Amino acid sequence: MTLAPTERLTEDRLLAELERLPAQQAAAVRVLYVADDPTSSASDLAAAVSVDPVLTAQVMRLANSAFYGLSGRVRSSDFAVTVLGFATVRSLAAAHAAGAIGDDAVIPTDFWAHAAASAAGAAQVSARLGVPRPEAFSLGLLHDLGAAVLCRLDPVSFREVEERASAPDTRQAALFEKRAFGMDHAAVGGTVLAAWRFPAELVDALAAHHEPLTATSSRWQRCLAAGQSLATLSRFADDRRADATDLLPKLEGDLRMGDVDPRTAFDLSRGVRTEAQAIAASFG
Amino acid sequence: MYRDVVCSGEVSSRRQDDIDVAPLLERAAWVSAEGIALVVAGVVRWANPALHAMCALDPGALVGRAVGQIDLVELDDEDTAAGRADLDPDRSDGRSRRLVLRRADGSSVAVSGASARLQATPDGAWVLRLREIAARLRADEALRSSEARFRALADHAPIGVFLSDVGVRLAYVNPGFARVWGRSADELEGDSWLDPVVEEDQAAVLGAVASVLGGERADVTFRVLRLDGDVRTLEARFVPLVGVDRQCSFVGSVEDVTDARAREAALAWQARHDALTGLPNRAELWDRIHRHVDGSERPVSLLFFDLDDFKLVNDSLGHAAGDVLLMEVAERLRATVRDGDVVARFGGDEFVVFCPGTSTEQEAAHIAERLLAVLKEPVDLGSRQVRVTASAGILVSTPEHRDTEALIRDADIAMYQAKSAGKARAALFDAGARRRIEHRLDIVSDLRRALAEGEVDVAYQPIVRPADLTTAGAEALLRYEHPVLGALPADQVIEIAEASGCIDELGGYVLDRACADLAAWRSRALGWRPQYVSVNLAASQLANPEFERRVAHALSRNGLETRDLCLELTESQLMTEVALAEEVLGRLARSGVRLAIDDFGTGYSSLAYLRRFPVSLVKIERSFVRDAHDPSVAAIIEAVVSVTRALGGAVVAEGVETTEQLDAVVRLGCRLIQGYLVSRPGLPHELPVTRQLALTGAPFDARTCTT
Repeated sequence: MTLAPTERLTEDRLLAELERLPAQQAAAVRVLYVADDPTSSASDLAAAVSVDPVLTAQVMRLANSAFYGLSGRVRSSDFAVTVLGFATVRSLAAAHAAGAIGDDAVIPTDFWAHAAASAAGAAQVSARLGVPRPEAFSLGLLHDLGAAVLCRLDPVSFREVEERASAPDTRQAALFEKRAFGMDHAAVGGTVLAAWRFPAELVDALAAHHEPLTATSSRWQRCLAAGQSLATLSRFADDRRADATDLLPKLEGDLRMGDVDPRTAFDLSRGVRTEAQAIAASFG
Repeated sequence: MYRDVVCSGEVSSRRQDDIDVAPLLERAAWVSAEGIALVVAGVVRWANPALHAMCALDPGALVGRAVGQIDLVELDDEDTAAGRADLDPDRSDGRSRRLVLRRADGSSVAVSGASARLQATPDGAWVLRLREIAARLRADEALRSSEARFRALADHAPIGVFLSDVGVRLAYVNPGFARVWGRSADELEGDSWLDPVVEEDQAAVLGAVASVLGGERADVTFRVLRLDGDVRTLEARFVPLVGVDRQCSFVGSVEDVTDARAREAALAWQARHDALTGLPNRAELWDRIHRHVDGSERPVSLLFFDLDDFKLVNDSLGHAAGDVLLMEVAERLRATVRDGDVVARFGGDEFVVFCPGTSTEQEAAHIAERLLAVLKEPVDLGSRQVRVTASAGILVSTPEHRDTEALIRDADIAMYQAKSAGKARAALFDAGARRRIEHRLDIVSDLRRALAEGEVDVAYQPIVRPADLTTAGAEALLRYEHPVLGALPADQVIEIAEASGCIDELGGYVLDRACADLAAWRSRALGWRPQYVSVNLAASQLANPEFERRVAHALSRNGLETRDLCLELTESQLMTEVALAEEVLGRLARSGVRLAIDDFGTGYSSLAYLRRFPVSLVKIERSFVRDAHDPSVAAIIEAVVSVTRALGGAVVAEGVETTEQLDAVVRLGCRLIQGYLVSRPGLPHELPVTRQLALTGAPFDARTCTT
């Protein structure tokens, strides 16, 4: 699944690329459909997961991570699926189907560390916004999945974009992506997850995650934004005077939109950091 | 929006595949339950009946009107009105939205609305779709209010309540939960509620969480360390819950059971300790010994203490003083024993010291002596000082002590040995003592059975008039043949029966038999015909309020009169219950029953009894009869005879075995004799001699009877 440099991505082309997934990832797509089927039981899902060793290993590692507090006690994939819940297993399957999991995964720099922190952050604020916590966690985990897809399609171009757009302004990065690939990673992620029938609210929030929040932004969008701000803050949790100063106005805006009092955000972000480390560790 | 792109792609391709469908589409839209309007240049060009009904308008009323006249209000996430809705696809993203439709009749209905462009023309045609969601809103409302009710319930519940998030993490804890944890609710959400759980209990709590996540209810008791350093014992119940997103989660409750547990522990302690002294009680002692002895071959020691004459302290100084004394004794024992030894109050003034580490008699005796010495020290009872002593039984277990019961029993036996050796001392258990007691216990149970089955025999020894060798009366004598030991002496049987409390049974048995036999003899036309039967009594029988009735009953049942019965008591028996004997025997004598003093001469031989009791016979003990040739003995016999006669009674010489003795007692004035010389005891069917006596009336030895 590599993209010829001259070809520009469209939604149709992107979906066509997804059709040509390697067999192993196809097993992960099957997990996506089992997860979407309302008649599936936890053991149906576990059985589907078990077909794929890479996905199974990841599910077990995450369920045994310190985040769930059951370290070492989850020994069967059935139990792992119950602990993680359908939404999270489904997210892992999507990540695997997009080629972001496994030893041979070609992914953006710090991909899982960022995803884990966003997931922990979004889960942290989910209750304040009325977003189901497992969904918020998935949203955080998958919000940059489009970047992993782009990176897999054309690693060379993606690294170039990464280098040029290392500035904190994410909108600039999106612009570079659009110029290089024809779509930015938010649109790519939205297209992919919509095709895999993820909940519309999650897809919408993900696709819009580089747009600034407005009064009409959905709860999901606000949850992701606040979660990401907490994640960013968590990197400076012990050091208030650090580089975060420049970011603070934006973070405060996001947090306020996410119903988080910025003064307590530092406290929350400390918890987010610990949790993010526990989650990220399971992605090796 | 991406989903919409994919969907519209599918629809358009199918439309191209099948052109025959096109004319039917309008009809399909016409019957749709969803309200549908076709809008061109901002004007409704076509609308289906469902949309008209939704707006409370007549069919066709919408056609030709501006689409803006369909009065739609946007709702925000909190379902409050957020302004007029504009569904023109140019100005909206085409996603379905929650709206309120104001109907022509003024009422409102919640709808979900969406629009889609049909043609990319300048005045673009688009379609408006509205669907009623009132039912869903009501369901949401019901859900919210039910949630609010449960929330209020949880917030004010006195016990801790929690809802899980994912894994062990908690999403909600109520104030009750925060209270038992001694922390604020914020500090306990996530997985931090586990941090205060004491180290050793963490595994149990995690195990319970793992079970509940596996779908099974779990109860667990654990301790938490509160911020103030207090350790509380909590009891939690975890209940699995399968959520809407099919993620296993759980809810649960938690209670602080520290105080309840403490109360239970106090009750349990009270059940196993003596309230007065705080020492382990009998049940606790039993268990402690049992734990040590069970399966262990190593000998242990048991010291059984009983205070000497404790009853005196209680009776003379009062129970309060008695209690103080017991507490002091308990304290002295406790203070003197070594670590590991158990001092228990066995009951009343009995204490047991269990020494699991003491395995030789020498060691055990040493401990017992030391404890006795400590107890001997004066005790200050406030108003006065007293000195008490104790008797101690020492037991060192042997392989034959297989259970706790045997150990305590033998220590108790040893204590009785110490008591009977003179009190204020210790005695080592002697297996012979136990065998004697066991022997006695066996006899008692065998005797009881024999009485119940009528296997105890009664023999009779005639009481004979030496003058003509005719029979005056017959003394009933117990004959018990033990199945193993053979014939047992009557006085031993009586002693055992008295000691074991079955003397009433035995006495009653003999009384009934004697009366029945006398009646049987009388019923025969010919034969032996004593005037009365004489039955031996034990003083304790007099204490039984049933006794007099029993006598009367035995007589009447057999058609006898009171004078047909003679009751014999020894002098010493009379002495033990003088007042009672005087009363009961007085009544019986007045009713006509004969009374005899048995074995006269062995006790005080007080002639005063002859005055106090209406005695008809005085039986002189055999040793006097044997020595009747001695002038001083003869003088005594003479005196007794004269006093008895003066009081209207007669004297019986017992144990007359030789003609010399017969001569002597007859000469001294005895009118009646008993003894092998003239009358051997025999069972009713073995009484040929006496029968012959009766039949012939012939003197046994006429010469000796002449004076």
